[in-house]
Amino acid sequence: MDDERVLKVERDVDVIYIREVGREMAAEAGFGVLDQTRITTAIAELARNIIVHANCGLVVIRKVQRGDKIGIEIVCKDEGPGIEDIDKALKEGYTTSGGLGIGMAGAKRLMDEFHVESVQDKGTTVIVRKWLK
Amino acid sequence: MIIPILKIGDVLIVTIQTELTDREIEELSHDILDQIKKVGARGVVIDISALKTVDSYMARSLNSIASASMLLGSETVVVGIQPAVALTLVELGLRVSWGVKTALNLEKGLEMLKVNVKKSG
Amino acid sequence: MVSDKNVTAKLVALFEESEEELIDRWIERVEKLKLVSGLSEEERAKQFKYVYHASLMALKSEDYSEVKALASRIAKQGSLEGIPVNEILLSFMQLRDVRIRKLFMTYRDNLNELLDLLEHFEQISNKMFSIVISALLKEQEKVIYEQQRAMLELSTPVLQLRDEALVMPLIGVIDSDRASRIVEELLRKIVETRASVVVMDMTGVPVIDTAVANHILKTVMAAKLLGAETIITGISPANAQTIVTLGIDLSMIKTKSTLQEGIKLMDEILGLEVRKGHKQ
Repeated sequence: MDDERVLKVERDVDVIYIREVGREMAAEAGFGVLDQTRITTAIAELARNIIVHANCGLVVIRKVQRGDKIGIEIVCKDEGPGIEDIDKALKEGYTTSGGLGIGMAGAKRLMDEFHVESVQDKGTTVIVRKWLK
Repeated sequence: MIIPILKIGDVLIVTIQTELTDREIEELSHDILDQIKKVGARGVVIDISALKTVDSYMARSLNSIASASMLLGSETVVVGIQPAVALTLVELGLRVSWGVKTALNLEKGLEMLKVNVKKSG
Repeated sequence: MVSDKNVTAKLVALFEESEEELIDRWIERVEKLKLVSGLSEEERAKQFKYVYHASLMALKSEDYSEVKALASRIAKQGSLEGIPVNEILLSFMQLRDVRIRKLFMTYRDNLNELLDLLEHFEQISNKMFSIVISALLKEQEKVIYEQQRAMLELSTPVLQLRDEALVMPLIGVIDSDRASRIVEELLRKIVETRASVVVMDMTGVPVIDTAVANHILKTVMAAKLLGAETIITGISPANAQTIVTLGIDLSMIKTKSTLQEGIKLMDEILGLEVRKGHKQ
């Protein structure tokens, strides 16, 4: 298994494939079932956000190392309309798409680190990481 | 992907055996509601024990099925949620407002429906 | 006075050419003192060779990475196989001693040079000892941490009280590490015993703050998804007040003031289900 996978997301079936890749890589990195599930679910939320808001984009999943910590990093990148108000988007129950409104906030809670960068009309990049304990 | 909907007595049993795309989940919802109407089902058991991931879309869909089935006079129980999935759903932000009834497994789900059907009938 | 470089070269040369002899003597001494006797002869010979080479490398280039890696590996292996820490340390000391002896024998006619060589050798040696000792300490800390963990787990027993009912008495401070283990253990047990009711007793939990209250909520929700109802008991008046003050809503949770009442309620829930089920 590679240390990095770059995956295109544009159809709902891609979400299933990508999250399974994420599960395999998480398992290989040594994460237990619970953390695998957290990581897989976070990937599903973020990948779906791409489809809903930007039609298509990229998901990069890679193993990372910081000091003696090993972890997994997921980068979700799109060239969609961008997020108008990031704080609002991370608030519970906030939705612009009629979803459950927990996608981004939920993904943040499931992972250890969460970064989001968004430029209006240019796109959004979300980076999340989880570390092995 | 066709998911069989079995009818036993006045209860429908739906076993989801593979991960579903959003569209497939939507189709399944329609099928279940159609079947409830068609056979006059009093209860629905949805077994998701094979699912290793349940994201917010799936959670919301299950909730919609449960609410809609209620309007058709049928009660829905979701059974077989894996422990890791349960904990992840809670951390994802699932709230009490997620009004779906749950049971450990198919057997307990059916038992729950029997009790409730008795109570209401 | 010879230059440092020269000193290093001489030490390395001496220990390289006398490797076999010194390792033999080292093993002899270790055997005589009955040190690390848990190791097989083969294993010991292999490990000693590694140590010899790693220390030679440190001597040669003052690069301690090999020594570090080896020390932590030995510390880990030692703790796994139950080799006493002092024996590991004493074994290392024997190597230093046979080398010092060799130095004396080789340079006995040249006291000045001997002192220079010793000076340098001692520095490097001491540095290596400090590395070994830190590795051993670190391993020891790990063992203690593991034991503490095990104890905490023991202090969070999940008891099966009835066919389908669990009781979990929580005792002590609940931090987020422990909270996650509690919920994971409880979920595992619910699946294992097919429990439909859980009584979680908080009498032994001194403080319930926002974090603990949220963990309780999370646990109750997760158990509910597995089809198990949770009853919380034993929240002290002071803690109840804190919960209200913090604005945490526990109203969706079934609570009873004492464990006894909680078990009564548990039986009611169970009895209700059993009776109705049998009517069928």
